[in-house]
Amino acid sequence: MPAAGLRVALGPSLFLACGVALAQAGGSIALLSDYRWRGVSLSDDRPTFQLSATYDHPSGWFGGASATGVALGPYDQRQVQLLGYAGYAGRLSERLGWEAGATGVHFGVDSRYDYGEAFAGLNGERWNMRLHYSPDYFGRGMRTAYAEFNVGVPLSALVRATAHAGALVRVGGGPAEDGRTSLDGSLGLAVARDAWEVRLDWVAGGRSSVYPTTYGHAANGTLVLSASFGF
Amino acid sequence: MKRWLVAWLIALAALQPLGGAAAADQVVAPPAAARQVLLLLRLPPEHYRPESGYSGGYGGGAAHGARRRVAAELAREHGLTLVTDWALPLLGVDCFVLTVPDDGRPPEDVAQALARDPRVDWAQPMNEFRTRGHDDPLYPLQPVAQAWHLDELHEIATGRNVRVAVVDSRVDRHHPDLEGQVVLEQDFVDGHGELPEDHGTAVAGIIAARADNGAGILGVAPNARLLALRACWQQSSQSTVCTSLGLAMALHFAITHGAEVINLSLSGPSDRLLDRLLDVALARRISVVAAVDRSRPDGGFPASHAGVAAVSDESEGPALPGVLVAPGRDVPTTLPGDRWKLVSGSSYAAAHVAGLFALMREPSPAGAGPPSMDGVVSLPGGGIDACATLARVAGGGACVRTVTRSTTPPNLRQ
Repeated sequence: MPAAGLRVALGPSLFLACGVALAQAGGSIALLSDYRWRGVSLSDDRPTFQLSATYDHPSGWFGGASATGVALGPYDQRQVQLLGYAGYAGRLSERLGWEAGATGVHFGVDSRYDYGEAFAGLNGERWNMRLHYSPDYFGRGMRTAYAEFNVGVPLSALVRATAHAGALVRVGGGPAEDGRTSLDGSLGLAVARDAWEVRLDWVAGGRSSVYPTTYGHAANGTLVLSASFGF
Repeated sequence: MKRWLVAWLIALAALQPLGGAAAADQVVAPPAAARQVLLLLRLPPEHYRPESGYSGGYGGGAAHGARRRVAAELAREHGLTLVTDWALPLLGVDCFVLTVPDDGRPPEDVAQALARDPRVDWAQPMNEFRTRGHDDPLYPLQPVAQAWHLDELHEIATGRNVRVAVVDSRVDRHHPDLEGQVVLEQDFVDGHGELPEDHGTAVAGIIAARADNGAGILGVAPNARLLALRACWQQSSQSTVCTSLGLAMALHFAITHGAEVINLSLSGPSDRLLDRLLDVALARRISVVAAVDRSRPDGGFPASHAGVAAVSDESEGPALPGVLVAPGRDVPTTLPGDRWKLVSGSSYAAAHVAGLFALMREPSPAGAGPPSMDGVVSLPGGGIDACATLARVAGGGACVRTVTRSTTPPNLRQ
């Protein structure tokens, strides 16, 4: 994790001690038909689970963590991916918000793939855009930038349509043949009621040799069904 | 021709009440809202949530679970039942509905006790609102076409593509006079029947009934586009009821779905949740119209909210300050089941002003302020000079002939 990210990530722990009464902390458990990360399957195109926890402080500091079952190639070793993130979110105006933070990813078995990212973004009522920077993406010695744009439009009281577009770009380091821009996108529907949410997304990702997965090298699109329960 | 039409409508109206009442009485039920409170918990600012995929937003799953758990804890601590919840990102709150058991505690006291918890943004009783107006088919007919000279107004504007939100009971979108006029329909009422309802259909017809279709009436803004948002339900032919939550959901939806005019033909007590949403709507240059309740000193809420155009019908009695007077007596309008009927009440007066605001929106130049009470030209007798009002917005020589005519005393226009 980059040094700048560490400084940001330390923030929430200070607020945990003094703001527990007003903070919001929650968890969820989810089943996914496939775990797609920026268009690429990290679960070998197979179903997996995800446990998540989130924390939001009224001051704007936030953090969270998740544990997801993954299977990285070429030996198809099942393991758990731990992802933690922290940051600060504020408002620029009534309709425009901003955020900045850092993410850290650790793989339970293949820790050589561990990496960190810093991110910053803007968001409106129905959209957000974010830029992530990693000094060593998936431990490949490559500096990458990932830009994403997301839209979420409520269709009714329960149903929400989502769309996503992202581009991963090598900005330095690593072998030159890994330098291609990798695009990904998704279209989805989410139905939420009380503590439940069910999502159906069509996800497609471009060819990239960055990812240590068997099928991550091939471009393909798939439908991903997920169901989560918040507690 | 006009006399024949009046006679035909009165005869038609006289035939309606029995059938209408019989159908409506089947859904009579005590409103559960009487024993409910609304609990508002703060939504954190939107931010990156990797566990929620790409969707962004305020997070379902874990993020929502956090607030739901707080609400469940509060419900347990105060002996309440958690019913449902609804995120209102415009206000930065998540709204939970809690039922108060029948143990003698007034919901107002329960809300106050909840509000003292530091985790709570605020809490309030679930208020009830009632539509204004009554059906009496034997009142003499006074069509708005005469009072406002609709034909001449429509030479300037017809409300083309202006989105008007009708926050009311369910609109019969397949009525011959409303077919194609509703572009968006949402139901924010749990249960209480699936059939089209009288009040919402009547209000929608006054605002935007189709023109030149060879049937029924002519809406004030026949080319406006309606957002039919069901926040109320019909208890009987004389009673239509709404709650804070249903109205808040509908208002939130209207604001976030491009409504330019919001019609609220209803009235009730002051309500903090709706207050806040109305502030957001007005800040976003949305025109809001509400019916006045003459039985309340301040005209009732939301008519009493600053910036909302408060509208009364031509009832006898002293004119209320700051209140527009619009046609609302014996107005022919649409009813479910391909029917038309005469209706009366400030609900229908408000609908006329919502239609007028839609007309004012169409020619309004970019950068001009939204239609509001300040932009309405009143006649000395308290009525609205619709042509002068529209001419002021459209500029140039629009409606000149009628502006000239409207300077004559109002009694000559009857």
